[in-house]
Amino acid sequence: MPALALAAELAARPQLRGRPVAVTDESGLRVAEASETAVARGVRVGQVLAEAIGWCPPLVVLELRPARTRRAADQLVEAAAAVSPLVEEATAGEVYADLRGLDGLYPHEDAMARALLDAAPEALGVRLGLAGSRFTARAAASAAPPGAWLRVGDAEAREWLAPLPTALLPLDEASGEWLGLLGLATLGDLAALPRHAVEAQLGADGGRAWLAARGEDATPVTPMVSGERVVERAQTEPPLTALEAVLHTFGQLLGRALARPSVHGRLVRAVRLSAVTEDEHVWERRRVLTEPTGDRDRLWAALRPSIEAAEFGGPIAELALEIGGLTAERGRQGRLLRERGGRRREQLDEMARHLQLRYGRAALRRVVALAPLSRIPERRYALADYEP
Amino acid sequence: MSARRLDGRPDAGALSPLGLPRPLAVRANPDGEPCEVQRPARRGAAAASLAIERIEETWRVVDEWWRETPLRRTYYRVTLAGGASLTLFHDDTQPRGEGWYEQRY
Repeated sequence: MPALALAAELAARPQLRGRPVAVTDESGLRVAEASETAVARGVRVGQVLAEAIGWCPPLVVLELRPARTRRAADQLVEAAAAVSPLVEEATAGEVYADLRGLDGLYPHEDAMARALLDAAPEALGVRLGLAGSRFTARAAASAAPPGAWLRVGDAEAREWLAPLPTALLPLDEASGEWLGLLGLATLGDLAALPRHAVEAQLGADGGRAWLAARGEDATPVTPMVSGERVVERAQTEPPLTALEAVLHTFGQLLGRALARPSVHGRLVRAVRLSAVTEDEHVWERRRVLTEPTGDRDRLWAALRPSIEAAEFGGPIAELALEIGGLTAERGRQGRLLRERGGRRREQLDEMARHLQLRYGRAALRRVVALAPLSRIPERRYALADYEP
Repeated sequence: MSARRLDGRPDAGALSPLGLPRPLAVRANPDGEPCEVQRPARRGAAAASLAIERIEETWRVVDEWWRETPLRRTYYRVTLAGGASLTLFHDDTQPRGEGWYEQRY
Protein backbone atom coordinates (compact mmCIF):
# COMPACT_ATOMS: atom_id res chain seq x y z
CA MET A 1 0.00 0.00 0.00
CA PRO A 2 1.85 3.10 -1.20
CA ALA A 3 -0.34 5.52 0.80
CA LEU A 4 -1.61 3.51 3.71
CA ALA A 5 -3.02 6.37 5.78
CA LEU A 6 -4.97 7.62 2.78
CA ALA A 7 -6.20 4.10 1.99
CA ALA A 8 -7.34 3.63 5.59
CA GLU A 9 -9.25 6.92 5.51
CA LEU A 10 -10.88 6.10 2.16
CA ALA A 11 -11.82 2.66 3.45
CA ALA A 12 -13.66 4.37 6.31
CA ARG A 13 -15.13 7.10 4.08
CA PRO A 14 -15.84 5.56 0.69
CA GLN A 15 -17.81 8.64 -0.36
CA LEU A 16 -14.45 10.41 -0.81
CA ARG A 17 -13.23 8.02 -3.49
CA GLY A 18 -12.56 9.76 -6.78
CA ARG A 19 -12.26 13.16 -5.09
CA PRO A 20 -9.06 15.09 -4.46
CA VAL A 21 -8.04 14.06 -0.93
CA ALA A 22 -4.88 14.69 1.07
CA VAL A 23 -3.75 13.41 4.45
CA THR A 24 -1.54 15.71 6.49
CA ASP A 25 1.64 14.76 8.29
CA GLU A 26 1.92 14.64 12.06
CA SER A 27 2.45 18.39 12.26
CA GLY A 28 -0.78 18.94 10.38
CA LEU A 29 0.93 21.50 8.14
CA ARG A 30 2.05 19.54 5.11
CA VAL A 31 0.69 16.97 2.73
CA ALA A 32 1.86 13.47 3.64
CA GLU A 33 -0.24 11.51 1.15
CA ALA A 34 -2.50 12.54 -1.72
CA SER A 35 -5.03 10.77 -3.91
CA GLU A 36 -4.45 10.37 -7.64
CA THR A 37 -7.13 12.97 -8.31
CA ALA A 38 -5.34 15.44 -6.04
CA VAL A 39 -1.97 14.72 -7.65
CA ALA A 40 -3.50 15.28 -11.08
CA ARG A 41 -4.49 18.76 -9.91
CA GLY A 42 -1.04 19.70 -8.72
CA VAL A 43 -0.98 18.51 -5.11
CA ARG A 44 2.38 17.03 -4.11
CA VAL A 45 3.68 15.19 -1.09
CA GLY A 46 5.55 17.59 1.17
CA GLN A 47 3.62 20.66 0.05
CA VAL A 48 2.45 23.13 2.63
CA LEU A 49 -1.31 22.87 2.96
CA ALA A 50 -1.93 26.41 1.80
CA GLU A 51 -0.03 25.75 -1.41
CA ALA A 52 -1.82 22.45 -1.95
CA ILE A 53 -5.22 24.11 -1.53
CA GLY A 54 -4.09 26.86 -3.85
CA TRP A 55 -3.43 24.29 -6.54
CA CYS A 56 -6.61 22.39 -5.76
CA PRO A 57 -9.31 24.44 -4.02
CA PRO A 58 -11.77 21.52 -3.63
CA LEU A 59 -9.08 19.48 -1.87
CA VAL A 60 -10.42 17.49 1.07
CA VAL A 61 -7.82 17.61 3.85
CA LEU A 62 -7.84 14.82 6.41
CA GLU A 63 -5.88 14.75 9.63
CA LEU A 64 -3.47 11.88 10.11
CA ARG A 65 -4.98 9.26 12.42
CA PRO A 66 -2.12 7.04 13.59
CA ALA A 67 -4.38 4.49 15.29
CA ARG A 68 -6.43 3.97 12.15
CA THR A 69 -3.30 3.68 10.01
CA ARG A 70 -1.73 1.22 12.45
CA ARG A 71 -4.86 -0.92 12.40
CA ALA A 72 -4.77 -1.04 8.61
CA ALA A 73 -1.09 -1.98 8.70
CA ASP A 74 -1.80 -4.76 11.18
CA GLN A 75 -4.55 -6.06 8.92
CA LEU A 76 -2.08 -6.34 6.04
CA VAL A 77 0.37 -8.27 8.23
CA GLU A 78 -2.39 -10.57 9.41
CA ALA A 79 -3.49 -11.15 5.83
CA ALA A 80 0.01 -12.22 4.81
CA ALA A 81 0.41 -14.33 7.95
CA ALA A 82 -2.83 -16.14 7.09
CA VAL A 83 -1.06 -17.60 4.04
CA SER A 84 2.63 -17.74 4.91
CA PRO A 85 4.43 -18.27 8.22
CA LEU A 86 7.33 -16.08 7.07
CA VAL A 87 6.13 -12.49 7.01
CA GLU A 88 8.09 -9.26 7.24
CA GLU A 89 6.65 -5.79 7.70
CA ALA A 90 9.27 -3.57 6.10
CA THR A 91 7.27 -0.40 6.77
CA ALA A 92 3.63 0.27 7.57
CA GLY A 93 1.77 -0.87 4.47
CA GLU A 94 4.70 -2.71 2.90
CA VAL A 95 4.60 -6.40 3.77
CA TYR A 96 6.72 -9.19 2.33
CA ALA A 97 5.91 -12.88 2.58
CA ASP A 98 8.07 -15.84 1.61
CA LEU A 99 5.74 -18.10 -0.38
CA ARG A 100 8.19 -20.88 -1.14
CA GLY A 101 7.17 -24.33 0.01
CA LEU A 102 3.44 -23.62 0.04
CA ASP A 103 2.73 -25.72 -3.05
CA GLY A 104 1.01 -28.34 -0.96
CA LEU A 105 -1.51 -25.81 0.31
CA TYR A 106 -1.86 -23.78 -2.89
CA PRO A 107 -1.18 -25.93 -5.97
CA HIS A 108 -1.76 -22.97 -8.24
CA GLU A 109 -0.17 -19.58 -7.90
CA ASP A 110 -3.47 -17.90 -8.69
CA ALA A 111 -5.03 -19.61 -5.68
CA MET A 112 -2.22 -18.33 -3.46
CA ALA A 113 -2.60 -14.80 -4.77
CA ARG A 114 -6.36 -14.94 -4.36
CA ALA A 115 -5.97 -16.19 -0.80
CA LEU A 116 -3.66 -13.29 0.04
CA LEU A 117 -6.01 -10.71 -1.43
CA ASP A 118 -9.08 -12.27 0.14
CA ALA A 119 -7.40 -12.18 3.56
CA ALA A 120 -6.87 -8.43 3.30
CA PRO A 121 -9.73 -5.94 3.75
CA GLU A 122 -11.21 -5.26 0.33
CA ALA A 123 -11.80 -1.62 1.12
CA LEU A 124 -8.04 -0.99 1.43
CA GLY A 125 -7.48 -1.85 -2.23
CA VAL A 126 -4.36 -3.91 -1.55
CA ARG A 127 -1.91 -4.34 -4.43
CA LEU A 128 -0.03 -7.64 -4.63
CA GLY A 129 3.21 -8.36 -6.47
CA LEU A 130 4.57 -11.88 -7.00
CA ALA A 131 8.17 -12.34 -8.05
CA GLY A 132 11.29 -14.29 -7.33
CA SER A 133 13.08 -11.34 -5.73
CA ARG A 134 12.07 -8.80 -3.14
CA PHE A 135 12.57 -5.65 -5.20
CA THR A 136 10.83 -7.07 -8.26
CA ALA A 137 7.86 -8.10 -6.13
CA ARG A 138 7.65 -4.57 -4.72
CA ALA A 139 7.80 -3.04 -8.18
CA ALA A 140 5.14 -5.47 -9.39
CA ALA A 141 2.90 -4.54 -6.47
CA SER A 142 3.28 -0.86 -7.33
CA ALA A 143 2.16 -1.57 -10.88
CA ALA A 144 -0.73 -3.83 -9.95
CA PRO A 145 -4.24 -2.36 -9.87
CA PRO A 146 -5.94 -2.04 -6.47
CA GLY A 147 -7.35 -5.36 -5.36
CA ALA A 148 -5.36 -7.32 -7.94
CA TRP A 149 -1.95 -8.94 -8.38
CA LEU A 150 0.81 -8.85 -10.93
CA ARG A 151 3.33 -11.63 -11.40
CA VAL A 152 6.77 -11.08 -12.88
CA GLY A 153 8.69 -14.25 -13.67
CA ASP A 154 12.43 -14.56 -13.09
CA ALA A 155 13.17 -14.86 -16.80
CA GLU A 156 11.32 -11.68 -17.71
CA ALA A 157 12.21 -9.65 -14.60
CA ARG A 158 15.12 -7.66 -16.07
CA GLU A 159 13.22 -6.75 -19.21
CA TRP A 160 10.11 -5.85 -17.21
CA LEU A 161 12.04 -3.68 -14.77
CA ALA A 162 14.09 -1.88 -17.42
CA PRO A 163 11.72 1.01 -18.20
CA LEU A 164 10.92 1.71 -14.55
CA PRO A 165 12.45 4.82 -12.91
CA THR A 166 15.52 4.57 -10.69
CA ALA A 167 13.54 6.48 -8.06
CA LEU A 168 12.07 3.10 -7.07
CA LEU A 169 15.45 1.84 -5.87
CA PRO A 170 16.14 1.71 -2.12
CA LEU A 171 18.86 4.37 -2.24
CA ASP A 172 19.42 7.46 -0.17
CA GLU A 173 18.76 10.92 -1.57
CA ALA A 174 22.40 11.61 -2.41
CA SER A 175 22.74 8.40 -4.41
CA GLY A 176 19.50 9.14 -6.20
CA GLU A 177 20.79 12.57 -7.16
CA TRP A 178 24.03 11.02 -8.43
CA LEU A 179 22.06 8.70 -10.69
CA GLY A 180 20.10 11.69 -11.99
CA LEU A 181 23.26 13.70 -12.70
CA LEU A 182 24.64 10.84 -14.76
CA GLY A 183 21.42 10.58 -16.74
CA LEU A 184 20.57 7.15 -15.35
CA ALA A 185 16.81 7.61 -15.33
CA THR A 186 15.65 4.02 -15.67
CA LEU A 187 16.56 0.70 -14.08
CA GLY A 188 17.62 -0.52 -17.48
CA ASP A 189 20.20 2.30 -17.69
CA LEU A 190 21.65 1.23 -14.33
CA ALA A 191 21.57 -2.48 -15.09
CA ALA A 192 23.53 -1.88 -18.30
CA LEU A 193 26.52 -0.51 -16.36
CA PRO A 194 29.28 -2.76 -15.00
CA ARG A 195 28.63 -3.66 -11.40
CA HIS A 196 32.10 -2.61 -10.26
CA ALA A 197 31.54 0.87 -11.68
CA VAL A 198 28.34 1.32 -9.72
CA GLU A 199 29.89 -0.01 -6.51
CA ALA A 200 32.91 2.24 -6.98
CA GLN A 201 30.59 5.26 -6.75
CA LEU A 202 27.82 4.07 -4.44
CA GLY A 203 29.42 1.35 -2.38
CA ALA A 204 27.65 -1.81 -1.25
CA ASP A 205 24.26 -0.07 -1.48
CA GLY A 206 24.96 0.58 -5.13
CA GLY A 207 25.82 -3.06 -5.67
CA ARG A 208 22.53 -4.13 -4.15
CA ALA A 209 20.68 -1.56 -6.25
CA TRP A 210 22.40 -2.90 -9.38
CA LEU A 211 21.26 -6.42 -8.56
CA ALA A 212 17.75 -5.17 -7.86
CA ALA A 213 17.61 -3.36 -11.19
CA ARG A 214 18.41 -6.67 -12.93
CA GLY A 215 15.77 -8.57 -10.97
CA GLU A 216 18.45 -10.39 -8.96
CA ASP A 217 17.89 -8.80 -5.56
CA ALA A 218 18.92 -11.50 -3.10
CA THR A 219 17.66 -9.75 0.04
CA PRO A 220 15.71 -12.38 1.97
CA VAL A 221 12.45 -11.94 3.80
CA THR A 222 13.32 -11.42 7.45
CA PRO A 223 10.36 -12.87 9.32
CA MET A 224 9.10 -11.07 12.38
CA VAL A 225 9.86 -12.81 15.63
CA SER A 226 6.74 -12.93 17.73
CA GLY A 227 7.84 -13.32 21.29
CA GLU A 228 5.42 -14.24 23.99
CA ARG A 229 3.09 -11.31 24.61
CA VAL A 230 0.26 -10.78 27.00
CA VAL A 231 -2.09 -7.95 26.09
CA GLU A 232 -4.98 -6.59 28.06
CA ARG A 233 -7.26 -3.95 26.55
CA ALA A 234 -10.22 -1.92 27.66
CA GLN A 235 -12.56 0.49 25.92
CA THR A 236 -14.06 3.24 28.03
CA GLU A 237 -17.41 4.92 27.62
CA PRO A 238 -17.55 7.85 28.04
CA PRO A 239 -13.93 8.49 27.12
CA LEU A 240 -11.69 9.21 30.08
CA THR A 241 -10.58 12.74 30.78
CA ALA A 242 -9.34 12.45 34.37
CA LEU A 243 -5.82 11.25 35.12
CA GLU A 244 -7.04 9.24 38.11
CA ALA A 245 -9.42 7.29 35.91
CA VAL A 246 -6.61 6.55 33.46
CA LEU A 247 -4.31 5.45 36.28
CA HIS A 248 -7.00 3.25 37.73
CA THR A 249 -7.78 1.57 34.42
CA PHE A 250 -4.12 0.95 33.63
CA GLY A 251 -3.73 -0.48 37.12
CA GLN A 252 -6.60 -2.86 36.48
CA LEU A 253 -5.12 -3.94 33.17
CA LEU A 254 -1.81 -4.65 34.89
CA GLY A 255 -3.55 -6.73 37.53
CA ARG A 256 -5.41 -8.72 34.92
CA ALA A 257 -2.29 -9.34 32.88
CA LEU A 258 -0.36 -10.56 35.90
CA ALA A 259 -3.27 -12.77 36.95
CA ARG A 260 -3.15 -14.79 33.75
CA PRO A 261 -2.05 -18.38 34.29
CA SER A 262 0.66 -18.05 31.65
CA VAL A 263 2.23 -15.18 33.57
CA HIS A 264 1.87 -16.49 37.09
CA GLY A 265 5.17 -17.05 38.81
CA ARG A 266 7.21 -15.47 36.02
CA LEU A 267 9.15 -12.26 35.78
CA VAL A 268 8.29 -9.39 33.44
CA ARG A 269 11.02 -7.55 31.64
CA ALA A 270 9.12 -5.06 29.46
CA VAL A 271 5.77 -3.35 29.52
CA ARG A 272 4.15 -1.31 26.76
CA LEU A 273 1.34 1.11 27.50
CA SER A 274 -0.86 2.56 24.80
CA ALA A 275 -3.87 4.82 24.68
CA VAL A 276 -6.08 5.78 21.76
CA THR A 277 -7.99 9.04 21.99
CA GLU A 278 -11.53 9.63 20.85
CA ASP A 279 -10.23 11.06 17.55
CA GLU A 280 -7.83 8.11 17.08
CA HIS A 281 -4.56 9.67 18.10
CA VAL A 282 -2.19 7.21 19.73
CA TRP A 283 -0.02 7.58 22.81
CA GLU A 284 2.51 4.84 23.54
CA ARG A 285 5.25 4.27 26.08
CA ARG A 286 7.48 1.25 26.45
CA ARG A 287 9.35 0.54 29.66
CA VAL A 288 12.11 -2.02 29.78
CA LEU A 289 13.02 -2.87 33.35
CA THR A 290 16.66 -3.04 34.38
CA GLU A 291 15.71 -5.90 36.64
CA PRO A 292 12.79 -8.12 35.66
CA THR A 293 10.14 -8.53 38.31
CA GLY A 294 6.80 -10.19 38.86
CA ASP A 295 5.86 -7.94 41.76
CA ARG A 296 2.83 -5.83 40.87
CA ASP A 297 3.74 -2.93 43.13
CA ARG A 298 7.21 -2.65 41.64
CA LEU A 299 5.85 -2.80 38.11
CA TRP A 300 3.29 -0.15 38.93
CA ALA A 301 5.96 2.05 40.51
CA ALA A 302 7.88 1.84 37.24
CA LEU A 303 4.85 2.58 35.03
CA ARG A 304 3.00 5.22 36.99
CA PRO A 305 5.42 8.13 36.33
CA SER A 306 5.10 7.60 32.58
CA ILE A 307 1.32 7.80 32.78
CA GLU A 308 1.36 10.84 35.05
CA ALA A 309 3.70 12.68 32.70
CA ALA A 310 1.76 11.73 29.57
CA GLU A 311 0.09 14.23 27.26
CA PHE A 312 -2.68 12.24 25.65
CA GLY A 313 -4.05 14.90 23.34
CA GLY A 314 -7.70 14.20 24.01
CA PRO A 315 -10.25 12.04 25.85
CA ILE A 316 -9.16 8.43 25.88
CA ALA A 317 -11.43 5.83 24.33
CA GLU A 318 -9.20 2.77 24.49
CA LEU A 319 -6.34 1.63 26.71
CA ALA A 320 -4.00 -1.31 26.28
CA LEU A 321 -1.22 -2.81 28.36
CA GLU A 322 1.21 -5.37 26.97
CA ILE A 323 3.76 -7.25 28.97
CA GLY A 324 6.65 -9.04 27.31
CA GLY A 325 10.06 -10.50 27.92
CA LEU A 326 8.58 -13.05 30.28
CA THR A 327 11.28 -15.01 31.98
CA ALA A 328 11.44 -18.33 33.75
CA GLU A 329 9.78 -19.30 36.97
CA ARG A 330 10.61 -17.65 40.22
CA GLY A 331 10.26 -18.71 43.85
CA ARG A 332 8.35 -16.77 46.45
CA GLN A 333 10.61 -15.24 49.10
CA GLY A 334 8.71 -14.63 52.29
CA ARG A 335 9.41 -11.71 54.59
CA LEU A 336 10.86 -12.28 58.04
CA LEU A 337 9.73 -8.95 59.44
CA ARG A 338 6.30 -7.57 58.54
CA GLU A 339 5.72 -3.85 57.95
CA ARG A 340 3.21 -2.04 60.09
CA GLY A 341 -0.22 -2.41 58.51
CA GLY A 342 1.10 -5.10 56.23
CA ARG A 343 -0.50 -7.87 58.26
CA ARG A 344 -3.93 -6.23 58.15
CA ARG A 345 -3.62 -5.71 54.42
CA GLU A 346 -2.70 -9.36 53.96
CA GLN A 347 -5.72 -10.45 55.97
CA LEU A 348 -7.97 -8.23 53.88
CA ASP A 349 -6.44 -9.59 50.68
CA GLU A 350 -6.91 -13.15 51.85
CA MET A 351 -10.55 -12.50 52.73
CA ALA A 352 -11.11 -10.86 49.35
CA ARG A 353 -9.66 -13.90 47.57
CA HIS A 354 -11.81 -16.19 49.66
CA LEU A 355 -14.97 -14.27 48.83
CA GLN A 356 -14.04 -14.14 45.17
CA LEU A 357 -13.61 -17.88 45.12
CA ARG A 358 -16.85 -18.36 47.04
CA TYR A 359 -19.03 -16.16 44.84
CA GLY A 360 -17.15 -16.31 41.56
CA ARG A 361 -16.65 -12.57 41.35
CA ALA A 362 -15.12 -9.70 43.28
CA ALA A 363 -17.17 -9.25 46.46
CA LEU A 364 -15.44 -6.21 47.90
CA ARG A 365 -15.44 -2.79 46.34
CA ARG A 366 -13.65 0.42 47.18
CA VAL A 367 -14.23 4.08 46.46
CA VAL A 368 -11.92 5.58 43.87
CA ALA A 369 -11.54 9.31 43.49
CA LEU A 370 -11.51 10.04 39.76
CA ALA A 371 -12.08 13.78 39.45
CA PRO A 372 -13.07 15.11 42.90
CA LEU A 373 -13.31 18.68 41.66
CA SER A 374 -15.44 17.91 38.61
CA ARG A 375 -18.56 20.00 38.15
CA ILE A 376 -20.37 16.84 37.12
CA PRO A 377 -21.10 14.90 40.34
CA GLU A 378 -21.14 11.43 38.77
CA ARG A 379 -17.61 11.98 37.43
CA ARG A 380 -16.08 12.56 40.86
CA TYR A 381 -16.06 9.19 42.57
CA ALA A 382 -16.68 5.60 41.56
CA LEU A 383 -16.78 2.15 43.04
CA ALA A 384 -14.15 -0.28 41.82
CA ASP A 385 -13.51 -3.89 42.58
CA TYR A 386 -11.05 -4.46 45.36
CA GLU A 387 -8.38 -6.59 43.80
CA PRO A 388 -6.00 -8.26 46.24
CA MET B 1 -18.83 5.37 33.00
CA SER B 2 -17.75 1.81 32.31
CA ALA B 3 -14.86 -0.13 30.94
CA ARG B 4 -15.41 -3.27 28.97
CA ARG B 5 -13.23 -6.00 27.58
CA LEU B 6 -12.79 -6.00 23.84
CA ASP B 7 -13.86 -9.63 23.71
CA GLY B 8 -17.37 -8.51 24.57
CA ARG B 9 -17.54 -10.12 28.00
CA PRO B 10 -18.90 -7.93 30.79
CA ASP B 11 -16.02 -6.28 32.56
CA ALA B 12 -16.01 -7.40 36.17
CA GLY B 13 -13.55 -4.65 36.98
CA ALA B 14 -15.67 -1.82 35.58
CA LEU B 15 -15.96 1.44 37.47
CA SER B 16 -19.43 2.14 38.88
CA PRO B 17 -19.97 5.87 39.17
CA LEU B 18 -21.27 7.20 42.46
CA GLY B 19 -23.80 9.98 42.68
CA LEU B 20 -25.72 9.15 39.54
CA PRO B 21 -28.78 11.33 38.91
CA ARG B 22 -32.21 9.83 39.53
CA PRO B 23 -35.23 10.77 37.41
CA LEU B 24 -37.72 12.97 39.19
CA ALA B 25 -41.18 14.13 38.25
CA VAL B 26 -41.20 17.91 38.44
CA ARG B 27 -43.80 20.50 37.55
CA ALA B 28 -42.34 23.75 36.32
CA ASN B 29 -43.78 27.24 36.15
CA PRO B 30 -44.08 29.15 32.86
CA ASP B 31 -40.53 30.47 33.37
CA GLY B 32 -39.24 26.90 33.42
CA GLU B 33 -38.34 26.94 37.10
CA PRO B 34 -39.41 23.99 39.27
CA CYS B 35 -42.36 24.63 41.55
CA GLU B 36 -43.42 21.15 42.61
CA VAL B 37 -41.79 17.74 42.86
CA GLN B 38 -43.45 14.34 42.89
CA ARG B 39 -41.55 12.18 45.31
CA PRO B 40 -41.95 8.46 44.57
CA ALA B 41 -42.96 6.05 47.31
CA ARG B 42 -40.06 4.91 49.45
CA ARG B 43 -39.63 2.47 52.25
CA GLY B 44 -41.74 3.79 55.10
CA ALA B 45 -43.14 6.70 53.11
CA ALA B 46 -45.88 7.02 50.56
CA ALA B 47 -45.57 8.93 47.33
CA ALA B 48 -45.96 12.63 47.91
CA SER B 49 -46.32 15.82 46.01
CA LEU B 50 -44.21 18.55 47.58
CA ALA B 51 -44.29 22.21 46.75
CA ILE B 52 -41.03 24.08 46.40
CA GLU B 53 -41.04 26.95 48.86
CA ARG B 54 -38.10 28.78 47.38
CA ILE B 55 -35.16 28.34 45.07
CA GLU B 56 -32.00 28.96 47.09
CA GLU B 57 -29.50 28.81 44.27
CA THR B 58 -29.31 28.22 40.53
CA TRP B 59 -26.30 27.42 38.42
CA ARG B 60 -25.58 25.98 35.02
CA VAL B 61 -23.09 23.28 34.05
CA VAL B 62 -22.03 23.08 30.42
CA ASP B 63 -19.30 20.52 29.86
CA GLU B 64 -17.94 17.80 27.57
CA TRP B 65 -18.29 20.16 24.64
CA TRP B 66 -16.36 17.78 22.39
CA ARG B 67 -19.07 15.16 22.45
CA GLU B 68 -21.88 14.95 19.90
CA THR B 69 -24.34 15.90 22.61
CA PRO B 70 -22.52 18.14 25.09
CA LEU B 71 -23.65 18.04 28.70
CA ARG B 72 -25.94 20.98 29.54
CA ARG B 73 -27.70 21.13 32.90
CA THR B 74 -29.40 23.78 34.97
CA TYR B 75 -29.14 22.98 38.66
CA TYR B 76 -31.48 24.21 41.39
CA ARG B 77 -30.98 23.92 45.11
CA VAL B 78 -34.43 24.26 46.57
CA THR B 79 -36.19 24.20 49.90
CA LEU B 80 -39.32 22.07 49.97
CA ALA B 81 -42.44 22.62 51.97
CA GLY B 82 -41.56 21.29 55.40
CA GLY B 83 -38.01 22.62 55.28
CA ALA B 84 -36.20 19.79 53.50
CA SER B 85 -33.48 20.72 51.04
CA LEU B 86 -33.16 19.16 47.61
CA THR B 87 -30.79 19.56 44.67
CA LEU B 88 -32.24 18.85 41.27
CA PHE B 89 -31.38 19.70 37.71
CA HIS B 90 -32.95 19.94 34.31
CA ASP B 91 -31.15 18.29 31.42
CA ASP B 92 -31.31 21.13 28.91
CA THR B 93 -30.84 18.78 25.99
CA GLN B 94 -34.34 17.49 26.67
CA PRO B 95 -37.69 19.29 26.32
CA ARG B 96 -38.88 21.39 29.25
CA GLY B 97 -41.57 18.96 30.40
CA GLU B 98 -39.02 16.14 30.67
CA GLY B 99 -35.47 15.60 31.80
CA TRP B 100 -35.67 16.45 35.49
CA TYR B 101 -33.35 14.63 37.88
CA GLU B 102 -32.48 14.60 41.54
CA GLN B 103 -28.78 14.51 42.40
CA ARG B 104 -26.63 15.19 45.43
CA TYR B 105 -24.15 17.89 44.53
